[in-house]
Amino acid sequence: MNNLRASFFLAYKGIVKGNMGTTLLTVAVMTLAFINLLFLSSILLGLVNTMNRQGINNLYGNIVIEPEDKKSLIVNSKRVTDLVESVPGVTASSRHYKAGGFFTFDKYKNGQNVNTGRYSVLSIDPSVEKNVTDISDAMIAGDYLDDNDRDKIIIGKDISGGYEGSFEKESLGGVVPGDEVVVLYENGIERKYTVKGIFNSKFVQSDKNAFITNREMESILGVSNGAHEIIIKVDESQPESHYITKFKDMGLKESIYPWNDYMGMTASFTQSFTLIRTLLSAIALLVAGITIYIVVYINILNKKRQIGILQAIGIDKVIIVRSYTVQALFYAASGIILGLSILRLLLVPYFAGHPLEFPVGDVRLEVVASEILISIAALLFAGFISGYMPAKKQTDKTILEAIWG
Amino acid sequence: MLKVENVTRTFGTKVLTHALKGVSFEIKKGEFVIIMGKSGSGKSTLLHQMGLLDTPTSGEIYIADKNIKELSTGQQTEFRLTTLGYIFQEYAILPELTAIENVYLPMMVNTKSEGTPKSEKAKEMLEMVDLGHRLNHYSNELSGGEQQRVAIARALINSPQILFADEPCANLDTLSTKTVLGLLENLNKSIGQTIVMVSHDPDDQRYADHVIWLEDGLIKSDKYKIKGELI
Ligand SMILES: Nc1ncnc2c1ncn2[C@@H]1O[C@H](COP(=O)(O)OP(=O)(O)OP(=O)(O)O)[C@@H](O)[C@H]1O
Ligand SMILES: [Mg+2]
Repeated sequence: MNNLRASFFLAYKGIVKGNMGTTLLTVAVMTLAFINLLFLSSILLGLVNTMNRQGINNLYGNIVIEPEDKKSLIVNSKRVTDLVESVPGVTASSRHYKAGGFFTFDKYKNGQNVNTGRYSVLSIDPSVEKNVTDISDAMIAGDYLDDNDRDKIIIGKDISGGYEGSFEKESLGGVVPGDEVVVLYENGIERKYTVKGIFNSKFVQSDKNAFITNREMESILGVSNGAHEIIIKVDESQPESHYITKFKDMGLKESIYPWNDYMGMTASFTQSFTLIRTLLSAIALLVAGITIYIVVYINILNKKRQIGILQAIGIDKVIIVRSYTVQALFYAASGIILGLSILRLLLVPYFAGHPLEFPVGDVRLEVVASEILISIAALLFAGFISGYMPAKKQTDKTILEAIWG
Repeated sequence: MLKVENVTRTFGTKVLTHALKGVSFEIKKGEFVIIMGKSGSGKSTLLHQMGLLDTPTSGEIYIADKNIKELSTGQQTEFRLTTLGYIFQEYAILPELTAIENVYLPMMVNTKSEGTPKSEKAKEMLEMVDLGHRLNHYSNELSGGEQQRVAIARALINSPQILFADEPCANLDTLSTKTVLGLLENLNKSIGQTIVMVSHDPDDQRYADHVIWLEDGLIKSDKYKIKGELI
């Protein structure tokens, strides 16, 4: 008990009487190390979450129903949408057809500046789609589709061009609402559309899509009441698997997948990011640890004699080692407190107001409690080890060596 | 109180320095012992062995009827804290602590002193060495003589059975030397503090009642003062 008090007393005096500049510098390095531990991982987490959100909001909903094995179409799609929508927690569903289209755009109608490109054309029931995806909210020029539109198309900014999208070079080179594009479908049917609007979901994968109405698509494909996919939005209080089981139990023979089965890109991103995060965290931790080690080590080099004297007058090694460990933990703890304050009070609000613009959408800092706890534990551990080691090494020398060595 | 039996201390591995070549003597409670000898004769080395700061190559040392060889590391630390007091030649007070904190520290960790009002006792000790007006000064604010007196107060705080002092006045001017030596003499006379002091100044013999001369790692003479005569 008294020994503990003595350790803290010596640590306190060491910090108070120690070099103020060194203390401040050390705390500053610890602060940076702590922010470093969390900052990048928060950005990466923000990025991954944005990608996932974008996938859900613009492409897949929460759950996707595809045709039964070996069939190319969901037949009687109304049966399916009625069934899934009867399940509590399902908020909306919408059916899509998909077709590949070869686009031709002759801006000046003189055959001189013709741009072409192959894009996916999806068809929707515009008013229903609003409840499932966010495309209707992403219009940056012109208008969204109406249910009765037949010769209208809306296209993503990476098809239209002119918005400095990620695929500007491969775009049609500056389509604006009112322009005409010709689409040649895979089955040989060719249609001429007036571009009704251009959308920017900020998500590369969906900004290369074009949408027409289901009525138009059914006339092209010569089918009715079918779908290539039905995407479903659910109340996220339950995991997707819960709904999928429900659907299957109700007798749906179609193939059913959760959204993340389609996010192969994000999944591999996430994996690589996790690796990078771990690596960078390890480096940050090592830097923090080595910094404390060097500070404590130099401190101890300067205090070799003092440590010898303490031992000579009968102060237990344990007390001495612990006093240096406490000092190191103090540096680490100060860094944690300062770092966390800067992160929570400065950086998070800043990035909330000024999100980073990635080709997958706006990315904000997402700091999660578990990561904070891990970082705190990690930095304290690094502080403990790097305070303990040099002090232990020094006190294990003989007293005379310490005083005169 | 203290018995040294045939103690040797050899330094080095290739080139051997025989600092102590077999030293034996005995010290009784209440004695003021002075160990004299030329530079390099082994005085400090001997004191280190007795003060548990170093380990003899061979031989036995008994302090308060305990063979110090048989003490564990922890017991040795405890012994240095409670049974021995040590004053170094160079000023050895801790620069991060004030005078009173320096004195107070050994008492803080001494379980045997629990219950005693510590800062009171530390203040008393500093008043005893005439530093009642320097309680909250740091070492860089104290003169050499004042620092050495703080060291004496610190060495005495746990009421040690033996006080060791290795040339405590080597770095002091004449006046400070007089004060410090007077203080030690006073302690010896008034409370019967056993003191073992190293010195190379023959004048200091007047304070002692037991003088041991070392020469080249061996005892040249071991005399007691009886009626002012060293015999
Ligand atoms: N750690 C050591 N390693 C090697 N030799 C040592 C060591 N400590 C002391 N010696 C040698 O032992 C001998 C005795 O040294 P010691 O310090 O005991 O002398 P001293 O009598 O105290 O001298 P002084 O009056 O100068 O303080 C010297 O020859 C010294 O060089
Ligand atoms: Mg000496």
